[in-house]
Amino acid sequence: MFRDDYKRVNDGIHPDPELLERIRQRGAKRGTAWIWKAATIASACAVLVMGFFLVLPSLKADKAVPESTKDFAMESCEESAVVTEGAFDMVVESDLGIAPAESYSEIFALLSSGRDYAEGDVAFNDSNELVMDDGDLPTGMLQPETPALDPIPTDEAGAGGETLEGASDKNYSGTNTQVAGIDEGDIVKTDGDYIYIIKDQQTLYIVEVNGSEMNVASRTSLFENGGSLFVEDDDGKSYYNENRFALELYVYHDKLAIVVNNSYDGQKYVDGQESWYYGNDSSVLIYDISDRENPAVENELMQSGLYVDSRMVGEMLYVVSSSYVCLDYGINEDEPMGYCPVYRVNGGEKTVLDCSDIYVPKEGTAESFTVISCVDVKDNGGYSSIKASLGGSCDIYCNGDKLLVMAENYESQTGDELTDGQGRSYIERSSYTSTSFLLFELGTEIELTAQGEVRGSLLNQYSVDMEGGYIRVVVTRDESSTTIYTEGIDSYEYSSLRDNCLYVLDESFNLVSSIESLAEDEIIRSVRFMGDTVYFVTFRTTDPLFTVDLSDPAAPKVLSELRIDGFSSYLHSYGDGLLLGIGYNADADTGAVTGVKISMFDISDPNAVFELFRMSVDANHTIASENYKAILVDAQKNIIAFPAEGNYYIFSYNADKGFELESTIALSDDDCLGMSDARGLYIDEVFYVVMAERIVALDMSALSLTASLDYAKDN
Amino acid sequence: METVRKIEPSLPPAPMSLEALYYEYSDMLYRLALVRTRNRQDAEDAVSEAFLRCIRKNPKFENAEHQKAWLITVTINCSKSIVTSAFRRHTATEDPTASVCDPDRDENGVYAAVLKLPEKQRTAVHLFYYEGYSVLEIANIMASPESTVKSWLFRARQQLKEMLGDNGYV
Repeated sequence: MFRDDYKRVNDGIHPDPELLERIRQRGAKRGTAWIWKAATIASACAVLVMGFFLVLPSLKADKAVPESTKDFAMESCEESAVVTEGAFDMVVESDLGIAPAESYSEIFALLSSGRDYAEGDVAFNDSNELVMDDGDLPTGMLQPETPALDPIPTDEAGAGGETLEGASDKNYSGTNTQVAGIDEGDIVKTDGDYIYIIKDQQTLYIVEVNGSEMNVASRTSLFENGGSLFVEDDDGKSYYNENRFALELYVYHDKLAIVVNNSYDGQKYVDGQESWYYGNDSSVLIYDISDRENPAVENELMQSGLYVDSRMVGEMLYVVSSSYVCLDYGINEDEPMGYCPVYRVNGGEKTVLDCSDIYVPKEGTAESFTVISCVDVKDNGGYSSIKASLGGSCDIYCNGDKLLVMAENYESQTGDELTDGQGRSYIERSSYTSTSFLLFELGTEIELTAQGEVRGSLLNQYSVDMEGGYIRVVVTRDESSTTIYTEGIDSYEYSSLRDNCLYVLDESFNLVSSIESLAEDEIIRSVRFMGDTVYFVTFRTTDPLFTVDLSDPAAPKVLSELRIDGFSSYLHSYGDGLLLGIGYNADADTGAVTGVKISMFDISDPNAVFELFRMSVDANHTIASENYKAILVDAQKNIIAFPAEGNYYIFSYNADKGFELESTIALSDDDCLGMSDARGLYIDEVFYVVMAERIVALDMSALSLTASLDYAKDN
Repeated sequence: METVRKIEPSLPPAPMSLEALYYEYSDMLYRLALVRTRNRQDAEDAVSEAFLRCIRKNPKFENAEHQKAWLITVTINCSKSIVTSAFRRHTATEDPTASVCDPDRDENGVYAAVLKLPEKQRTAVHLFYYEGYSVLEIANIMASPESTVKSWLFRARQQLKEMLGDNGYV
């Protein structure tokens, strides 16, 4: 019946008869990325976007957005923003009095206070994704035993190659990381003799490579049943769903670490009441790969929370996760397992973190924990250290000695109803974004040493840097205020302020210096700290590339501001006096993005930075603008390589002629639809492009194809 | 009316012109996009982009089913970009059903109920109940685990039952 009715309604739906003609016209004007135009307009409302997302947790997806939120957003897009002078106050906060908790009840009290959203309301956004991260399973909930970890090595093909002890003496590329020497996880890695690949978040491939000879050494299914488990009871009233995804890998000599996110959700009836629960935890699987043909799982370490990010310093792997706490479903203070982060070693019992390992502020509220752990990949008996702090997390920065965890906050205040001079009732509402920081000292024990907060929000991890005892950060500040007249039909007056700032802070988060009010109404598109200088790009319709001198932390100076069309989403040093930008061309009048471009800037005179060369790439979009790990840049080898739309591009740069397109490798359909997981790497004189199904080898000097391997052919 | 090409399901389809693609697939893709975006304009944008990508890329399809699945996946991806664009969120109509389909036709309110489901659930419902894909096929199209598709359908059915009455209707 449902099916019939639903079919009948659908059968009566047809597109506008003019649609075909409109597609023809759009096809003729190829080159303008229409999706991104919409995104550009949307970015003008970013403050409200955030407001919207954060309002949402209190709503169910199927409820209408309140009229006020909607109008608030509409107006802001239509009206030009009114700048309010002096709207920013309280720029930086430090020393929030955070310390290890003395008791679990202290933690419980902080979690319980200030929870004002409706009890039992499940927070969905429109995409059916949970807006709030995560929580461990409430105690007493049905949770099937995690399937025993049993990797299934198959396809033990390949000749028995030599397994080298220790690092290869070959010259090979690593993952594109923010800080030299601090490794970041990725789906493809090499150690010079092998290429390690995580395919479809489920399977580990180890491919032996020697020049253009490539052989699959092993294929290991990381989880049973493709990492999926769905259990439904007979009456169709309750279920449990669990999925495991291998996200990133690290290689350390004969050890391989895989970072896994486990997400679960389920529904059950408790005392006749339907209850729905969900959560995530993050695992590290450590494999002994001394025999590359038979990777053997050695250990599995699990910590609460959705995986945020990780770094590897030597053999020490640091994993950060964010664990949302559901306080519904009868969680009680006496059972910390129900509300505090837990960990598990090798399928053993879950252990709740000791309260003294959980940092809490003296007051305030929080709904999630940041969990940070340290694993010795070489000698992995368990967690070397695991700590948690109240508060969320979204990005991390690590320089080897210190690790910064950043979280974005949105704060809004609504005043009481007041009456203005003309006798009209109104309510004032103001909001702003801020970024909070946790600074951890790394070592055998992870220690939280400071916490602070700045106004404004980060673009990504590249917005933050530490050097010489100073934390430097570039943010976009957004502030808005609304006056809502409440008589009759509500009417609104809206003002907003957006600008960009640089803050220099000491390691206790005291403000040392700042440059404020840069590029009003624009947002940051890319940031790169390079020693005493920071380069960043802001954009609305054109791209100012700012160069700021930080050599005197107490007095940073803007040295130059270069305005060109389009913008760079990623900046990378390209040898002496050169800075590479990967980004988009844009229409100088409208800001509409028209396609991918690469630019080379001359930064030899920081007071007069200019664009030397620019090349347009035949693509509307590149994943490289969002995922920097998809980029390979090596100035010494003279390689600039990244995937864009249907191809993997390899460029070189010549001081006289500018960029030259050296090679274009067509990605398979799977790569394109999956927004491309292609990675480039080199080992000595061979360049490899690893795609979803195949690896191709190119000769480095000619960049001509020499071999191809369908490594996932029999999958 | 231009010529409508008949497609042999098992054979690799010959490269098709925009017009041929349009007549073969526009209704099917538009209905899917509409369920996802709940907005005629956005649905048309997503369908347009799917056709343009197909023409531009001219992928090699194994057979007509492959072509159809490819177009569906691209339409899903394109309507995702639009739906997640916050600007569209804010400008979307408050009650999407009225503008999306003729209320007289939807006398039992099933279409309106489906539109009230979260995006992934309503996509899975559409592919399952309207296009007749299996859970496994939907999992491949939506690049999600099979168990997750089951969980979407499970929750969708429950909510539909709640909205439409619990008489074994769904």
